[in-house]
Amino acid sequence: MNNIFRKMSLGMVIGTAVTAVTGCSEGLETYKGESGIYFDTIYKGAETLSDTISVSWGMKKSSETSQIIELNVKLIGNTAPVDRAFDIRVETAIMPGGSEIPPVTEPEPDPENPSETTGTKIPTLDASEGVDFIMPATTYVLPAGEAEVSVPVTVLRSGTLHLAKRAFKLTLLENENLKFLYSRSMPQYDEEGNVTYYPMDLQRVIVLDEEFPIPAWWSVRGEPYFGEWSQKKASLICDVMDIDREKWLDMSALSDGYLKFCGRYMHNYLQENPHYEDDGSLMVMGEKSSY
Amino acid sequence: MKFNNIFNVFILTSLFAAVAAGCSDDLGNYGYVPVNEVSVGGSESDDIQELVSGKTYQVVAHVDHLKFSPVLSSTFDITDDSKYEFEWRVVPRNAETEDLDPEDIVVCRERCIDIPVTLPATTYNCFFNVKDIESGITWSTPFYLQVRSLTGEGWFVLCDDHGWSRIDVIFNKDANEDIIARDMLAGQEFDPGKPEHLFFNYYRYGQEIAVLVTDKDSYILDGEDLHAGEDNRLVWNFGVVPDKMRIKSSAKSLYALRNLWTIIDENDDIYTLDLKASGSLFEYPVTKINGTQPFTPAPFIGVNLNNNSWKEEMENGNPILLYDETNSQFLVITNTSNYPQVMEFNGTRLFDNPTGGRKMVCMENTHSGVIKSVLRDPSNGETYYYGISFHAETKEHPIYWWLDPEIIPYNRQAGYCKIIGPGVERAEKFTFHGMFPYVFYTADHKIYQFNLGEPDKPAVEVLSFPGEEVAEMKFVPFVGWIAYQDWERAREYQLVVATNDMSLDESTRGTMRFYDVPNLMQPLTLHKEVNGFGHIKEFIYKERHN
Repeated sequence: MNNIFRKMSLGMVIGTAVTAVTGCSEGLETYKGESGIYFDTIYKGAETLSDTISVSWGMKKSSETSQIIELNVKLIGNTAPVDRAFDIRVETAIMPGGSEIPPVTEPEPDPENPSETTGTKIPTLDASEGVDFIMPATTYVLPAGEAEVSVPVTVLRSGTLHLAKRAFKLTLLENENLKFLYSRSMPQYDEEGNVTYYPMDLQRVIVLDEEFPIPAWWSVRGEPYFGEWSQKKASLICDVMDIDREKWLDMSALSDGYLKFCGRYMHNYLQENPHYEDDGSLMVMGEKSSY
Repeated sequence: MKFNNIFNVFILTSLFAAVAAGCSDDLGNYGYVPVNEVSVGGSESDDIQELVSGKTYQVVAHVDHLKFSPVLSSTFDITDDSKYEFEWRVVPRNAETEDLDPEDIVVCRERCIDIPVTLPATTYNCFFNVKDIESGITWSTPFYLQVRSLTGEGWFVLCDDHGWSRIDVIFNKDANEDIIARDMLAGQEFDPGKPEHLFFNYYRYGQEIAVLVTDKDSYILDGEDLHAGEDNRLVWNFGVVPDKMRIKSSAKSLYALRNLWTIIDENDDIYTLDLKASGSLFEYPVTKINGTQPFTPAPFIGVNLNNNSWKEEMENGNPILLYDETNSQFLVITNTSNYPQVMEFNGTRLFDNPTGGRKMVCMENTHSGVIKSVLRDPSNGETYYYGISFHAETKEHPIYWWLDPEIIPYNRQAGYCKIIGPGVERAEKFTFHGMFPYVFYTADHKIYQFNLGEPDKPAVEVLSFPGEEVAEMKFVPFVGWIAYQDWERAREYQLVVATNDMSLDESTRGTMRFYDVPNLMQPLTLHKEVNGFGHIKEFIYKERHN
């Protein structure tokens, strides 16, 4: 009886071994096709929902005028034992408005609500290389054995960014080693409402802006000390008073007394260092600070 | 009809039967069991005070014991402690009950309590709970405990002890007993510098401050341990932090529409801090009339201390009175002005403003609300009393009662006369009684009393200190929103005199004397005398904040 069990066990071991060996050689399908590239669908830890990357300068100090953003280009397919190069096309003429900043206009009445104004809409214009960004190279290499490569782009903060956003486009170019094999699709509507789809992960549109919103406390607590809001004025206050811009927007981070002091300090500062608003008028503080 | 009668009789009979049955059924259903009612009264020992329900007991932290030995009264004559469970509960009055751990607030589980008081200075709701073990009923005796501390209140005497800023405290434990604490800054490594001034500014909401000024800097003394150090320098209250800030004067207005903390620094610059805007800072000097004309202020700041009424006429006046030494005129910072402006008066005119070249000798804020000043004509030494009060008046009553009336300031001239008496032309220290129309001044080691009610009579000598220099002499108004006991309030009317016997060593030459001031210009009587201070520079009374 024992012998029978011993024979059965031996048979099971042998059978398992045979199955494992044949499994290794025949059951695992490896990718044998072509390789491709695409822009990583994750940017700064979050999934991108479009092909546009916004770079907002408004929350940074005015003294910061340059930063490097890193776009990842990823591989689909097998890594290779050799370096594989690919090119990126840089396009700047992408916006219908060109690159000329239109004159500052007064806000127009909102047609749906005549008592309100539509507000001044900041246009998005073409960026200029060397002024708004610097691409150190257009040819990049996916290193041997690697499945992704970083594409660093230096973006610059021009003095007119608060008047117009700037945009430029980076497009991957395929070659025989790295083709276009994968991308998510993005709907695109024409003037008649017809929809077409384009591969959104083969390009990235970089939009630079200077957005620095009005704090929720401004109208009640800020206006008496700082006067009429302008982004230029708010930025200057934060720069001169060394106020963190996140803190500036926080409803409760800055006390009334401190805002009062800021207004008084800025009034004196502007007396010695006149600044002008975008419409050419002299920048002034509020009534309670102007004494 | 007959049917109705029968029906009525039936109804009435039924009701009577139901009521009767109800009564008979109720009998015996109630378990009327007498309970053991427990109360406390008296004390086991005559040396230990009796525990009285609802009474407030004052104790001094780190000095006194919480000590009671209540005697139990029981309707069943059960006084054996083993039949009861005891607990003494002490709860801070302003505590959030949900934040309290019941175990933390029970300080004793015996009938007799005798524990040292180490609690922070504030008021506590206390309970002596007696639980009858058999019935499970707890009988509670509530009382209040007001914990005071040697650093929280008292006469703070600033002494120069061989260059060290020494602060001694006379703590009035009760009407007759004092605790003297010497050199409260001893033990701290930081040397604040040689002492010059000590100011106390009361303000509601626990923002009272004591400011020490030395030859190096100014410090807001710590509320708990009184230390003066890098962390509590006055400069941290400035938006643009100066290297140092030595002040000549400091005051907080209490009852203006816009309360200001105002200081005058060693450069004769005036700074203000808006007390009603949270997180306010001292900004830039406001030492210009209407923002344009520079002037030199006298080192005094006038504020209204009158809190006797909630009427708007007593409040909502202007916040700050100043004196312009350059142009010899009273100035005011109003509720709406940032810079001082020349003061204008309403009502009866007693004196001119400008004052005709007179210099200010002193200014005192009194509890009546009248800011009392002494000015002197430098050409002939003639000395004058000026009384000014900040009031407000209702400009227009609204149509509807629920609307606020429009209030406008109403600055009154409250008094004016010439002060005559021996040596008055060279007197430097003046002080005004808080109730009677008396002004006292020092000259030639003597103190004179002048009756403003009889200005034709020269001042009379009331005290003399041969061999001693009078360092300071004043009445201290007690302005805190505190339920002071009568003996505490009475201190407001005592003349306090600090002297230095220059023949003694600097560490022991100072004396503080407290005089009762009777009416009708009767002689002053010495209430108490405390010796052993260093070279006294100034003194304050620091009021507790609750």
